[in-house]
Order: sequence, then structure tokens, then C-alpha cells
Amino acid sequence: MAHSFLGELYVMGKNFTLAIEAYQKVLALNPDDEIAQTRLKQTIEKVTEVSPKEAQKKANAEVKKDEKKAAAKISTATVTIAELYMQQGHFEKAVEVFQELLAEDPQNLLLRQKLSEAMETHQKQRSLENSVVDKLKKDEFVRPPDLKEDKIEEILGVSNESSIKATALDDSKFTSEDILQVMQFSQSEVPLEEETKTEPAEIKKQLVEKKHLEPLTNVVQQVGSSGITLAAEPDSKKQRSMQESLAKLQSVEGIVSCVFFNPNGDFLMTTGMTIERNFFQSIFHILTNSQHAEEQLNHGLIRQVILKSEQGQIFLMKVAQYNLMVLANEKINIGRLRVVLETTLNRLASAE
Amino acid sequence: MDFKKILHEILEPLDGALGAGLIGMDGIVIDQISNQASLDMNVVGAEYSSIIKNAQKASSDFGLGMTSEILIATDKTVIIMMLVAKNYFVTLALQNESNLGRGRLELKRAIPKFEKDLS
Repeated sequence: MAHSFLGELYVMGKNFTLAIEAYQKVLALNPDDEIAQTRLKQTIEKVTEVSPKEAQKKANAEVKKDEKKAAAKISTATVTIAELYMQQGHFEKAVEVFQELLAEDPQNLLLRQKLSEAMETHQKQRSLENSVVDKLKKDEFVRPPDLKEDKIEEILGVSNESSIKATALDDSKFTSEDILQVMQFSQSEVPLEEETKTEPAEIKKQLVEKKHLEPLTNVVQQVGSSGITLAAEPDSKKQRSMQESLAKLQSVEGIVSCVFFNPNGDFLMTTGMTIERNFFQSIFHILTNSQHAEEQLNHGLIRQVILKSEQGQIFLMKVAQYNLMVLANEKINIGRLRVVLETTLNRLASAE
Repeated sequence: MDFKKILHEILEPLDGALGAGLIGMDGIVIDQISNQASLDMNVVGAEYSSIIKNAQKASSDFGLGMTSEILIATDKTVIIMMLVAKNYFVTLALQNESNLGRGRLELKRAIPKFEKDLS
């Protein structure tokens, strides 16, 4: 009787497996119990009714799991993969991966810099390839002595016998080394100015178009190939000197961006990547808080603040009445930076 | 947990060391040694903890990851702060003419000792 009652309770609670067990126990004790037989039959029927739904649920859950796994497989974009592409010379793929990563983390300046590098290298590679093709077509190319004519034709995809003077031929196929050889030989012939004249502006334009780079609202002038963005026309010798200093600082390996800002936190000029105003406002707060702390401790005026993080460093310093922020990645050469900073400070002091 | 002993070990080999302290991220000083009366570690704790928080935020905004070290150079002193076990930082105040490199080295050596005691 107790098992029969228990069975009913389990059925009410939709715990059909336990209900079946309970009814089976009743029937084990009293095989002729018709009520228990009926209840067992009904419960088994209910189980078979519910099962397809549960099966569907399980199937759906499995599908979702598979989808998640598939999504995880598809989203393999990591900085390491992008860097591997770069190392292997697949710059276009590297750009794609960096763009994917930036879409997930658009504020990450290091990713922006890496994307910019990848795009720059990719463009250089393309312009180099184009110039090689042009030179070969114009017969201006000085062919490496051991590069076979048929290989050059295959590389170019042309068969212009008159444009290339024949040397000894063989049937071996060209390799990637041959392509590199062509490129290396012609590299010195490519005028560097042509390559670099428009690139920074072009890269910046592409980044802005892809919303990876937010233009500063108070920018009035962008200085072409130097990549310096100004908040106002340089109106003094000092500001021009600051502009030159930024260009020099940008030449130090590992520097992502340099920003001059006013004592009140207003942006003056920047090089490398432009940085959103609220970003260097947070940096400005560090400087003001540090100054407040040092005043409390009677340590004098702040000269320099360095923040060392996992993937880079931020240098903040007072330069005359301005503040300079240098954002660097892990490749920064501190020694070189110090030398350049010293000359920068001297240059600005003399411009006072 | 003899933090004072570790702080002594940091200061001992350094000429021109003004003081050192282990401070919580909330600005409360856990232990300190000061060789100069004007260096009040309670002020250091209160002021620098907010700088560290700002630095962590800035570093994260710039995509640089966790800030592990902050160096502030002034007219008279150099303050170095290094993160200990995420919730604490150890700070060292040096005179300008002190050996900064040695100071950083001593702090780096001390961090595992602090972390061992704090875990």
C-alpha cells in the first residue's frame, strides 16, 4: 500500500522511473494487484510519451554543444597566429586576424599598432612586387646571374623573349627563393620615398574607415608623411620643436604613440596612433594624483612617472610646461628612449 | 609573518634609502620602516593606492595588461612601487642619487618572500 501511494506521488512529481520501481515493488509483493498493474502500465505509457520530448531536448543540447565547439574552432584568431602569419610572409592573413581581434577589443592600442605594422608590411610587399614586375617588363631589371630566364617568366606569368636576355636554361622549377632573389635584387632600385610618402596617411585612413582608430575631435591638421596629428597649427618655434621631437621619438623601436598634452589635460599633438581624449585624461589623473602625493610628502615636483605593465610601458614626463606621454610595447629599447628623450628635453629647453 | 625583516633586507644594502613599506590596495599600511621622519608611510599608503588603481585602469584601457610596477621620480626622491599578490604593493623611497637599479632588484627579490607569507 505504501509503495502504491509512493508510486502515485512519484507520478505526480513526474518522476516516472521511481514511480515504475515503486509499482514494481507492489507487484512483487502482490502480483495480482490490478490497480498497481494499471498504474504501472499508465506510467510506462507516460514515460514513452515524455521520452521523445526529452530526446529532442537532449538532441538540441547536443547541437548547441557542437555549435559552440564549431564556433570555438572557427574563432582561432589570436595574436600568436597573426604573428606566425607575419613571420611566414602571409601579411594579408595577418591583417585579417588582427582586424578580427580588434573587432573584439577595439580599444587595444597594441593590436592597432600590430595591425598597422601588418598593413604597412603588406603594402610594402605589394609595391615591391609591382615594381619588380614593372622593371622586368621595362627591361630595367638587373637579373641575378644564377636566376634562369624561364623561372622569371614563370614568376611573372609572361613570356616576353625580347625583354629578357637569355642565359643557360634548365628544366628545374622555380622556388620561393628565386622570387625572393628577384625581390632582393630589385629592392635597392625601388625609390624608398615613393613607398613611404603616402603610406601612413593611407593606413590611418583605412583604420579610421574600419573604426579601429577614432579620430580626435579637436584635430585641425594632420601632417602628411610624418604621421603627426596636431590640435592646432604650430604657432611658435617651440611647438615646431615639439613636433620635431615627436617625430624623433617615433623612430625608437617599440614606441606605439607619443602625445603632448597641456597641464590642464588638453591634447596638443600626437604621433603614431591618435589616442582618444578620455584615454589620456586617465593618464593626466595619474600625473595630478602623483603630484598631490609628492606635495604631501614634500618630495618636490614630479619629473617622471613610469608604469610598467605585462605588455608594455607608459612613460609620463614634464617637458617644460607640457606633459609628454610615451606609450611603448614590450619591444621598447629603454636605453635608446632615454637618449632620445634627453635630446628632446634639451631641444625644447633651448626653444623656450 | 615577519614583514619588517623582509623590509629591512630591502633597505639594508641601499645607500640613500628613505624607507619601505608593505601596503594594501585599500591604502592601509601593513608594515613599514622609515629612515626619515618626514616619510609618513600612512600618507604614502593613502596617496599611492589611488595612483596604483588609476594606473591599473589606464594600463587596461591601453591594452597593456596588469600593471606590475610604478616609478615616480621627483626633484628629491624616487618612489618605486611593485605589486605583491594582486592585493598589496611594496613601496621603496630612495634619494635621487641612490642606486635605482639596485633598489628595483631588492624589491624584486623581496616579492616572493612577501607572497609566501601572504598566501
